[in-house]
Amino acid sequence: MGDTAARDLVVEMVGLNKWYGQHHVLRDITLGLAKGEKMVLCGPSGSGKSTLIRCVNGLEAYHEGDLQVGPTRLDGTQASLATVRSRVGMVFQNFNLFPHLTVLQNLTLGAVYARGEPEHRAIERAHELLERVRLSLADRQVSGATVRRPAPARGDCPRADAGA
Amino acid sequence: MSGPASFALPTHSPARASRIEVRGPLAFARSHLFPTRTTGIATLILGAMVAVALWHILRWSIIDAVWYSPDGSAACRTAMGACWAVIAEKYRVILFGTYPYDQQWRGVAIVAVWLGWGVVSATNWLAVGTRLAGWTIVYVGSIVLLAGGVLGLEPIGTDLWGGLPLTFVIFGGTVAGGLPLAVLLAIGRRSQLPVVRLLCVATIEGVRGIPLLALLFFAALILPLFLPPELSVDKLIRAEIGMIVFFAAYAAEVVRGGLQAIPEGQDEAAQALGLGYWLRMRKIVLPQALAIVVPALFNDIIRAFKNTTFFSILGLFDVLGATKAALQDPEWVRYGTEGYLFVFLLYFLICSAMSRYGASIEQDNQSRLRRAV
Ligand SMILES: Nc1ncnc2c1ncn2[C@@H]1O[C@H](COP(=O)(O)OP(=O)(O)OP(=O)(O)O)[C@@H](O)[C@H]1O
Ligand SMILES: [Mg+2]
Repeated sequence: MGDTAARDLVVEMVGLNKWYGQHHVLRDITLGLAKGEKMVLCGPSGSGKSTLIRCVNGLEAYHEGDLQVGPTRLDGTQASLATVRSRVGMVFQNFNLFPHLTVLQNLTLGAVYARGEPEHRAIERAHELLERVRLSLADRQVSGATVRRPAPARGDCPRADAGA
Repeated sequence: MSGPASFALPTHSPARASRIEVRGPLAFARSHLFPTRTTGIATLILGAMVAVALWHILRWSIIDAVWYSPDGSAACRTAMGACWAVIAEKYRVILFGTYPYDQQWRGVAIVAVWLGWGVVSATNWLAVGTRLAGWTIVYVGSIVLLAGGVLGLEPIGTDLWGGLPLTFVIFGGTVAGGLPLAVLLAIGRRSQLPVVRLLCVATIEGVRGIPLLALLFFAALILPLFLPPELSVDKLIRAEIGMIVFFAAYAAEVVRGGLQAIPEGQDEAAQALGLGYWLRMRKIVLPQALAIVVPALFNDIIRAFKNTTFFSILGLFDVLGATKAALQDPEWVRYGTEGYLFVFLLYFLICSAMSRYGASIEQDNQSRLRRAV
């Protein structure tokens, strides 16, 4: 993968391995993602793309190898999880938006409660992000295909260094 | 290249009258009461029986009833119908128990505030937090008012508390103490920590395994025999703790059902945002889980209201206990039917009102859930 310092990696995996029971899902994954770089992960269904991405913000634990996100080594401790999750945004395969909250609350929840940003700043930023996915809060009924649009916006909210 | 016919633009058809049968009392009677000859005859026979029964009830309860009997129960003894005079005579004992007569205005105030706030908080005029805060104030205020000893109010011991205010206070304490405990037990039962999980399972299963009456007897009558005198706690409080634990054990399983109904992705999404365990519970999981289980919770809440009648067996004068005491008056002892009918009606009205309360919260939740996804 080359010299870490020189390439300024935001995500770095070295020899990552993960099993579900006896099912060896991630086998010796070694990859690096530089700042500003975009990466597309391709593979058949069930090949472990989601699992790999879920490892990056600690939703799944890995069993062997090393995973570094920004300056933090994800070693399963609460402290490392908290730091990484406040910096990594994620859009879920099936979105998992919070149905009991408004679109705006969906976007500001993490900023306000996990990162302690002042609410007005979080709202401002949420409006910018909604602008980018062409959704206005004037649309009172968010339905059908529009439902998924806040999802990338929420995923982006942490001012992501890495987009999953 | 012409487009397929099936995709032709819709043209406007003229409106036609519906062929579905017109609604209305006549149409209903024809289709539901007299659809065939046999059903028609059955309707007539059953209708006649209902009419006779209703006539008897009407005659007993209204036409031949005695509403007012100035000199003892004399007027009732000769009458054919119900003796509602017993209510007129005893309503203060039934509604306020042994609470000192000249202080019963406090009880009136408490009942009025409960009913008033019940109506206001059943609507969605106020935010949920405001409604709950209001109930807390109402509850604490009721206890202060009953107990006295502040603001120049004469102090009155719990052994004299009684009637509807006591029933309300027992019930309010059960729900206010039991719901949070239920949530904790439900969360604990799903915990990763084996000790916590075991403790919660043992509490839930243990309490669910004993009858409420046995639990109350133990708390009110047997427990003090084992406790050193300096640890003595008021009988009312001991029984109340029994009620709270009993309520919580049942409601915990209801809440757990709600927690299980929330897709795991919700908690994961909140984790991905970096929220800690208790924040995820408070902001994401519990609001959705509790909204789902409102109907089942109101089942338990209404039952808790009716379970307050168990206190009458412990020698406390809740509405039922006070009624029992009031009807022991030899002058009126023959009119227990009327007295208990009045109490049934009272419980029925309050419990139906609570059903409506639950339904309105459900509607409120639904309109909120529809907002986002
Ligand atoms: N919690 C789990 N327990 C056991 N096995 C799992 C679990 N999660 C995923 N798997 C298995 O791991 C493999 C990889 O799953 P993953 O969801 O990462 O695939 P994917 O590449 O994202 O597929 P898709 O393109 O369908 O989203 C699959 O075979 C799946 O059955
Ligand atoms: Mg996937």
